[in-house]
Amino acid sequence: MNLQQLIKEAKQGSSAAEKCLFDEMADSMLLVCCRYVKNREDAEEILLDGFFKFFKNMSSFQFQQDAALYNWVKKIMINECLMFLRKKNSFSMVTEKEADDVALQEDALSNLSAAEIFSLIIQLPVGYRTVFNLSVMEDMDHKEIAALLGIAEGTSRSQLSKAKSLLQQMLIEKGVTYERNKYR
Amino acid sequence: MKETNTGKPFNWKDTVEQLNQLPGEPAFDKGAAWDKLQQRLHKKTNTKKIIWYRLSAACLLIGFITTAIFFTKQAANTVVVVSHAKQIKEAVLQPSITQNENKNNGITGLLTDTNATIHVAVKKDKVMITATTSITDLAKVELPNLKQKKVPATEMKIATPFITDTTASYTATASASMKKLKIVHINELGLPIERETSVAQNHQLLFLQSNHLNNRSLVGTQYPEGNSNTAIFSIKLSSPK
Repeated sequence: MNLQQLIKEAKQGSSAAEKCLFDEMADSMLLVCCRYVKNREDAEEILLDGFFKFFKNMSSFQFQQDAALYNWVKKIMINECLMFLRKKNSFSMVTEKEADDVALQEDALSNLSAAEIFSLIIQLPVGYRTVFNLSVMEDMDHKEIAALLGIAEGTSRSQLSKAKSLLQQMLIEKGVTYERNKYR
Repeated sequence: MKETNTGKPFNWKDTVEQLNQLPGEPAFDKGAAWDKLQQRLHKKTNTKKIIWYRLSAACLLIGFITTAIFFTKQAANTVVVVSHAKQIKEAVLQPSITQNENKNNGITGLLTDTNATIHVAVKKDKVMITATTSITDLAKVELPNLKQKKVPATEMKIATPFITDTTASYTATASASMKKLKIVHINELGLPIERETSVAQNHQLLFLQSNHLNNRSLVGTQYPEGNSNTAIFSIKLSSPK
């Protein structure tokens, strides 16, 4: 059964259709939550909150494409994650001097697997990670990020450049360890 | 610093989205998560119902309490009135009737005993009005009894304004009663004679001389031992008829 049919039945109150939608999207949405919130239990809780809101507000959703549905649910999850981080007061971003844009080693990145890149991202501090996720993964500009997080645009830029430089350091360390293991 | 991209720019988004599950973590238990979610979905609807039930119960309770308070206040007022009426009945009318029976002079007994009831009535203004009405009612009820015991009609007229209200009416009745009372010499009463005899016994010598009848005064003279010319007291009385 396609997503459109599932949405239609779920709107009519079918619990089975709701379960199918949940099974279809739960894994990918959990990954989204885990990118923002490091803790697995917190991420699962946020996932449930997000799906709860999704099912409650489903009547207002007009299905057009599968991608639109995924984006909508993803947006709900991201908002839930940001709310959770705000509640925990995780954002302690000090307005800093705008840093230069840092270039990452594309060759080193291309050698890494998806799981390694994911683990690199979640190792970042919460402020860097949030701005990096919103900017690089969600393609938001700094104005949007600043409005969403309640920070200055300059702060958003500096957080992103610092996140990238930290990732660069991590990549270098990984490369060093790789080299050491190779020559042993 | 400018980006030094040698080949294609690295696409983070597509790379990360290739992942199906969290790396190095156990698989996500969808069944358990769905159960939790379903419980929450049903729970929310139940809580809405519970909230409505609680609201309606609270409204009912408030209504019940207000009505209960209203009726208890009313009941308290009526109890006070009844108790006052009882007091008045016991303290005023019954003793007055007994005294009437004893002395055949109902109005004196009635006036003397009603002092206490006036104090009771003055304490609470709200109660006073109702108590007054009850007194008048009682008086109306008891009046035939008084008539049966041959109380003079003039004295009955005095008694009714006294029962109606307040200290002012009481003073009026008191002054009226003073006018109507007979002035009787102490020697004419039965009991005080015994007292005088006891006084005479204590002082050994006591006699009353009726001197100066033209001045209409009585002089009682006590002669201590050994001195028969010293008078200790004198009493002037009003002129005899």
